[in-house]
Amino acid sequence: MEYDMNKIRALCDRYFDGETSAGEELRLKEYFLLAEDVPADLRAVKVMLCGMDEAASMTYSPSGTGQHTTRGSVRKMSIRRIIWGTIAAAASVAICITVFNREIYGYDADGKAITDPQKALEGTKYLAYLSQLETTIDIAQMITMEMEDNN
Amino acid sequence: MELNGRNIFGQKRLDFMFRLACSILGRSDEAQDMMQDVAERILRRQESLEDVRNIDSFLARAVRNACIDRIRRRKETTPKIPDVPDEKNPDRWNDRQMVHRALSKLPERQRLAVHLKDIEGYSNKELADILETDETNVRTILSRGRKALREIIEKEIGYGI
Repeated sequence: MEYDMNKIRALCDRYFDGETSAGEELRLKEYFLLAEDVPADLRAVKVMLCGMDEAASMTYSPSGTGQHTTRGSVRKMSIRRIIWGTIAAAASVAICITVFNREIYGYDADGKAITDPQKALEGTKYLAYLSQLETTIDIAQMITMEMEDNN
Repeated sequence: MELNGRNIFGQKRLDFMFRLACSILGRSDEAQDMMQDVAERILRRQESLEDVRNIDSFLARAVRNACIDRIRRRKETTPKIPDVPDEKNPDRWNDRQMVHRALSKLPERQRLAVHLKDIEGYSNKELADILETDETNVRTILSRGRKALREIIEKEIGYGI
């Protein structure tokens, strides 16, 4: 697709003045995402727009981004789901309680209401412990699989 | 926007908070670690969340505060471990890293404006609400932020040398 470079430069000027409409920004982004080679003075703009487009596609995952599902990770995934599912359920309950009732911050192991915010906060530290536990499980599974492969 | 305990941490909001942390910290590995700090801060908030007028603005502030604490601690304790490149598309990964590093150097309002507009796709009107200003001022902040970002990236890639 041929682009009129004068129009692209004019759009760039408007973009850097904060004057572009959503449609104009889309056209500009389309040009820089598709163009393999751009004039030297527009190279930084290409890095900017391509980098921003890439940044916009990032998603949060508690176990880290860019996970690949391989033979080993299929088994790890099921344990992860259980662990993080439990965490998500516990967090939802804690947040609901925080929002709807100011005095109850969660429940302890005996099922009693926690009314002390400091004590409730300590509960969140278990998230970190669970994360460490997950790492330990991953390592143990990798060792087990290696032993299976060797046999 | 509906606000209640069930949907405050939906996946979309977690993604939003994570991406903003990447832009403030300039590193995705630290942003990943920092999400726990943000969750704690929100749970620590003792008054009801129902009086939060703008949830995105509230979450952006919570992420910002946790990131600032993280940056303070970073000077003393955090070792410099490089992010792992994405082998599928190393050029795009490099571009993203450069954008995050450059964004982390911008003044706070410019960084937030550019992040929300160019990464999250917010309208100028939504930006005006979050930044508590008018749309004319939003355009000025955006313009300064984008120009500063381009200048930082130009220096990094060696344009004009």
